Amino acid sequence: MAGERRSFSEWLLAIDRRLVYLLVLVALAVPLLAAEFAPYTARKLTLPPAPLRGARQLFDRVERIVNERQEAGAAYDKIVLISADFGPQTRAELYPMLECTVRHLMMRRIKFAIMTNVPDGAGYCKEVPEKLARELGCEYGKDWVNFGYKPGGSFLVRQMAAKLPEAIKTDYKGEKVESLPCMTGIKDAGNVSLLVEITGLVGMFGRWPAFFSTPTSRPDMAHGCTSVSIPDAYSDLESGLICGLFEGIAGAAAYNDFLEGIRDPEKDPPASLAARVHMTGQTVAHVLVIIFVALGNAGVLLSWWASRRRAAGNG
Amino acid sequence: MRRLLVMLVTLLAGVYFFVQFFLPKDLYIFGEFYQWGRYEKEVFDFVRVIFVMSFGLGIINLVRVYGYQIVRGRPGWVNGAVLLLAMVVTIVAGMWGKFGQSDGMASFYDKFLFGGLMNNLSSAMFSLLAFYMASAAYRSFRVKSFEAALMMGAALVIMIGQIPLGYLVTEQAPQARNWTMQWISTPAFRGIAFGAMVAGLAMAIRMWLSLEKTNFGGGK
Repeated sequence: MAGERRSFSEWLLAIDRRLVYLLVLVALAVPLLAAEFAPYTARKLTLPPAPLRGARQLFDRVERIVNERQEAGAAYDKIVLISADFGPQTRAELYPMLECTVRHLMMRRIKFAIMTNVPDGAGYCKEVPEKLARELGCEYGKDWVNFGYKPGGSFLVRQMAAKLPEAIKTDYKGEKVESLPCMTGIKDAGNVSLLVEITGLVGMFGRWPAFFSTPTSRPDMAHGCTSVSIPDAYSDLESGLICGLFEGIAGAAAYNDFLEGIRDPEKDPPASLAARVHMTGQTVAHVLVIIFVALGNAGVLLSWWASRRRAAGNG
Repeated sequence: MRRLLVMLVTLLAGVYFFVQFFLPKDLYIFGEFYQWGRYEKEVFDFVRVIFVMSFGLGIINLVRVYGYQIVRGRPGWVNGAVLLLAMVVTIVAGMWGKFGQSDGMASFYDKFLFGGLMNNLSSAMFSLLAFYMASAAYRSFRVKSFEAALMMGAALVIMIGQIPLGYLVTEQAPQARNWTMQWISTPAFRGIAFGAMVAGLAMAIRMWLSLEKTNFGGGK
């Protein structure tokens, strides 16, 4: 009833949702604003990521490519393929994953191709490598190639597995991919050392293990997913279907820490702060959710206790 | 006749891809080599062309639905007009930038339309989820039964193990989270996935044999 005073347990059970929204807004906005306007302070205040083995495994797999290339010498004819199948909706979590993968490959001068199966992803396929190439001194066509947006879903993947340049035909500028130095010797899925699928879409990753293989080989595969799809992807990691996993934004933040370990301070600029900042914001929001859940349950307990006391009093 | 044609094409396409997946690349029959996938490139290109045509179909549909709404002045016609205008501007800017070799238009498309508008509008739409999820977690994770307690316990273990704060409080937090993921979540997920795959296979067979009437535009 209007104006009736609520007990404390009633208040705990029905906290105004506007208060919840306001606190979530503050929790998420403060780290982002700090990173924008006070990056030095933000770098100090961000939290270190928890050790997540999926990111470590992926990092180690990329490092092994360097050894494989050294062992094979001039005969090495493999590239890494990145499929960035995400749009602005999941950008906050997936963009830092793309950034740290590309940064690692460019730092180690591992040739790679980037593409997307969703129209929204084309902008990121262009933006991320071009931005990092300026920082790390890489050259388009020689160190990486951008296939751009390619429609076709599973059919394209199947076609790429058998004849990669024929399936792709041209890069995002319209140039024939076969004419690019980066693609020399690349024929089929057997010439792909590692495939990294970064997506928040359910079912997007599944077509790679299903169709991207030759009769004699299948590239190693890794997956970057949003936090909500970790349980699904974790099953693939456990079974060995994937050799690495970005477990949400925390995975990208952990990966950036590994990159810091191999960075040459004289030559390479530090990794972007975005992953850590987003993860810190997410952490504060998670703590807030835990507090609200605890408050809600405290309300349930208090009201149960009060009703028992009333029942005992009446009896 | 149209129905029969659709059934026939569906059946033949299904047979082609089914056989193509299982047969070896080169078939040796009566002293001769045959390749089932000889015209694979053409077939796959055809499928991709059909796939791309769906974009055209989408545009026609949007123009028909919202064009009708605007012409008739139906409620919400302003939203429809904005949608069509945004679509036309994006298509024109994208094509002009690419085929007209105009750097200014390409920059307008990349920086303003994609980077400035679409990026931020889509992110803003999706970010609303954070608020709803926090509110929903507060309202729904209440220990009112044993099952609810289990769900809440699992959610807390995963959340605390995933965030850095959990690791700073105790190093056991990520381990507990990994254990829960490995021994509880993964088997459950595999069970669900297995069931879904079997159902998907059954559905695929029904569609292949045209037993699914919705293929033909409804259950009539």
